[in-house]
Amino acid sequence: MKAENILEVKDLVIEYPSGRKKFLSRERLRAVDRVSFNLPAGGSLGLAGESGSGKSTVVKAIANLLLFNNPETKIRGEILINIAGKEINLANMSRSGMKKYRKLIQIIFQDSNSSLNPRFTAGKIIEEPLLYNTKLGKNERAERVNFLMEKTGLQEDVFFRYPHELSGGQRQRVSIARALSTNPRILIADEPVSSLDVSVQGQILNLFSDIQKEFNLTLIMIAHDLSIIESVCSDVAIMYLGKIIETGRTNRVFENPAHPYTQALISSIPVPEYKSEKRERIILKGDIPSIMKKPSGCVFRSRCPKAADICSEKEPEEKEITSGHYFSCFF
Amino acid sequence: MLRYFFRRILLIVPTFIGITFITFLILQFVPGGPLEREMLKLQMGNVVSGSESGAVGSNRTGMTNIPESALKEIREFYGFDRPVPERYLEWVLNLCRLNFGKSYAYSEPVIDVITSRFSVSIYFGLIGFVLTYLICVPLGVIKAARSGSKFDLISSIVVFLGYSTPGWAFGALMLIFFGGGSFLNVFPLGGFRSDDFDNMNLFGQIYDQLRHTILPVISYLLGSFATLTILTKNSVIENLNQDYIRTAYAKGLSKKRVIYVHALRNSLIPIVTGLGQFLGILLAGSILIEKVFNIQGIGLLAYDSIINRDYPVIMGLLVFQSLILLTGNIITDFLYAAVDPRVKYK
Amino acid sequence: MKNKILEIKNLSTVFYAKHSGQGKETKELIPGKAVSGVSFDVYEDEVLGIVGESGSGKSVTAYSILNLIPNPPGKIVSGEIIYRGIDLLKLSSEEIRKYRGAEISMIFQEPGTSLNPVMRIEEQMCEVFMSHGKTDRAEALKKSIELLKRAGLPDAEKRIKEYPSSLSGGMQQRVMIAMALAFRPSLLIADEPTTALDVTVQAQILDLMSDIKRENGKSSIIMITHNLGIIAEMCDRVLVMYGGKIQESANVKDLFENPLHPYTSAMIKSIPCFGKKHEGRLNTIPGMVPDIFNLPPGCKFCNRCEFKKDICEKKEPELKEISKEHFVRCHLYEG
Repeated sequence: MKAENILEVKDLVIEYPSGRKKFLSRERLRAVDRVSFNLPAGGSLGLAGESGSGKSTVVKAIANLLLFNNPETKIRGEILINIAGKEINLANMSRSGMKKYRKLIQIIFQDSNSSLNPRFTAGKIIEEPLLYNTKLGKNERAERVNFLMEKTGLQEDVFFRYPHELSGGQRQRVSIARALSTNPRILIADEPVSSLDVSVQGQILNLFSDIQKEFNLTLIMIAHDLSIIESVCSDVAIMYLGKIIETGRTNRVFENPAHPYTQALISSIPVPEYKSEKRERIILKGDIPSIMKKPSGCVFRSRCPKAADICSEKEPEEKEITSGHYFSCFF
Repeated sequence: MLRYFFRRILLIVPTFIGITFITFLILQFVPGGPLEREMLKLQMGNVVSGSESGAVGSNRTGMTNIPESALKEIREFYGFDRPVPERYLEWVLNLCRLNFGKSYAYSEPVIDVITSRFSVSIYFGLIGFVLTYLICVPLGVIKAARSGSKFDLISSIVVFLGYSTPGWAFGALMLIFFGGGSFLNVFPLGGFRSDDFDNMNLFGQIYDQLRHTILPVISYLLGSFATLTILTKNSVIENLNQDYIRTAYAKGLSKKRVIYVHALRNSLIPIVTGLGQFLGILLAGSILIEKVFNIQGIGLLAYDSIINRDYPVIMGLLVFQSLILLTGNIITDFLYAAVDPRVKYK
Repeated sequence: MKNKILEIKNLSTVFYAKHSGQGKETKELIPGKAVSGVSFDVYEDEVLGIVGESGSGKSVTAYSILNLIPNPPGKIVSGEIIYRGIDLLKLSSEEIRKYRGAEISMIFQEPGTSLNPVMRIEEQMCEVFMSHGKTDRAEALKKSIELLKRAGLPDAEKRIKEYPSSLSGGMQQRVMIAMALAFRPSLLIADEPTTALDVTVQAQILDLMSDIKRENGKSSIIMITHNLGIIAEMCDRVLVMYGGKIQESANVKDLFENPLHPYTSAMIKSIPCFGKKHEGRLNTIPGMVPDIFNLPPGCKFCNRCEFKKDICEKKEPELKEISKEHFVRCHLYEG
């Protein structure tokens, strides 16, 4: 593991048991297929792709939350984190083993409405992680909560409010303050602004940029909206059916998309600018296939405008076009 | 899907064995079993005969007066001389041949005792079951469609009054008013049929049967009316707030079609789910109502056989009722999948 | 001048609720002004965009057109909706039924919940034909399959026998669109039709809507969305709504190149726009969307506006025509 990296994911494979039974063993569905990436401390990675691409599964694996949902999930490969020069593999870490590290990796979910306990006040929600992960006394905890609320732009009266009494933007700020309470090294945000009003999204995205600098965080953000990734993340990885099909520095990937899927994704974003001529868009056919019916060879070939015979025969290798910009396609 | 139900049916076997074995075991330890009853009878006999003969004896307890041989004979008669598992196995093997044993109290085969009572309970149970669904579901839908109207309010009051009145109390009250005693003589005081039922012509028979049916059925259903009506109403109202109802209106469908086709079909899901269990409850009978109306149904039989420690009958009833409940559950699951295409069993 | 097909005059719709947003719950039902005094026209053969955030009143306006506001808790308190000379709000529920789904159709945000989950597509399609006149089942089925094919549903003959849950979100929206096209409506109201879909599928659906409009000739679309990108790509004319009122209305070119209302220009500046470099932080609009139960008395946007003057809090500005067909409601342009 390189010293400057805080996170290295190597050949991560995640499989769920499917409902169907085969002889003696259960059929397995591969939700994530040999995903690898590195993140330097203080970096920010955006994960993009359609629903069903496996991006949420990857971050849940990093936050060690998969086994809560389904104890039969199989995780292979390595999720290495670098804690004060020590290398720790979090893949398949047990719940009790994870206890020490959980405060270092925090996650924020899309729907702040359902991910905050409706019976807790905002203050209590932010304070709770401190009770279990730190040895702070009552006054120190209150001080820390006030500090976090100030940093996340929450007014003092929010402390005594319940989640349903807050606006969507305020709730997401509470989620961020809660995640920051234990001083994490890695902050994961799963579609943090997609349920917010347009005029509030910008405030929250700026908050992410601010806290990332101030708390020296490493950020992993999932967003289906590429313009959000463009404005917040230094690196991007595009996923399709459990695989990273293109990755690199955000500006390089978005200026020179190499993979046909990335090209189509970028082309399908509606641009808020008046144009007298309607621009030509690449419109993909059909939907993302279910992971039960993955195409052979290249996973994207069933919707790819460039698909040729070779695409069904074998899987394309990862190629580097410019430094750090990789993609997997024959063309 | 088929495999799922096949598995569910197979699962009945271990569940059934579990239920019956535990009950069988408990019955062995309940005080006041047939053995003790026989002993008590013998003791009493001894004491009585002893005092009659005028013999002066110091042993007034009579405990030792039962000869060992008699005890052994009683034990053998009831089979208590053998270990529990062996007797349970024997009971199961007999069961497979549909031999439930002989009732202690009635000296008849258990199967005859139960079937004669069961037909009465099924009669009331099924009529009640069909009536509740026929009345409550449409009532609930109308209440939902006209939610907040006078009709909704008044029917709610009526239904909840019924819910809060115990069925047997209502039954007794009805008998006072309509049973001929003090006020009107519209309905008979009780029983399943009149004594001269066999001598009546067909219309007379139907009339007689109806007269004997109405009051008990109303008493049976009083409580379940409210549950099902309100369940239907709430379910329909909940569905009327769904997005697809808005779509249905936007398509230009009539209010009738929106409520009775779109909303109702979705609302039936929770209603159908309760069906299997509800049937089981109705078929179990009700001791109090059977007592009030003097109906020889399953509820009373169960009560009497427990009081009399009539073990073969208790076990026989257990077999019938657990089978009804277990199949009821499977029927529920099956109906669930039938009304909701999103439900798929694997 | 193009023909008006729909004229909305002074529409106001309220929703009654116990909640008053941030504070404590009120005991009585209080009216929330979802839409107040909205007037606009829809012309033949145009795509009119209504853009706004949650609580802006854009969807409520759309539902009011076909009188689809659930009552209670909602109520249309005033206004006229004049479609080809007839006030739709004065019609009985049986009379307005003839317009719904035939002359004016709607598609919705969540195709998954907008289709009845326990009815086959076939039944849901055919009932549109059968409830608007005398079509027999066989003919309705034939027409339905035709429409589904036109809406780009693959294997339409097979899919029509299925339940909505076995279709993907994109396919469900195609079914909704097919259903809405049953009688070649002269107006299609699309309420956030692609918000619940992935971007690539969103592109497919928007493409389909443009195609259909082209084929159908003189039909119009009202496109309701919070996404300014969709407005820019799809619409001819735009209404910007905020706090239940129209704040600005202009053709799409003027709106993006010369936004007049501070809210409009702040919105355009604040959204991350793909491919445009921004140095460091995004521009933002401070504060949050106002609560319809607690609207400010003056300008609805004044609490978040960088050009706020004293008068803005006290008096609501009028909607005023600044240049040709470019209207704005702001004190900056008064007097």
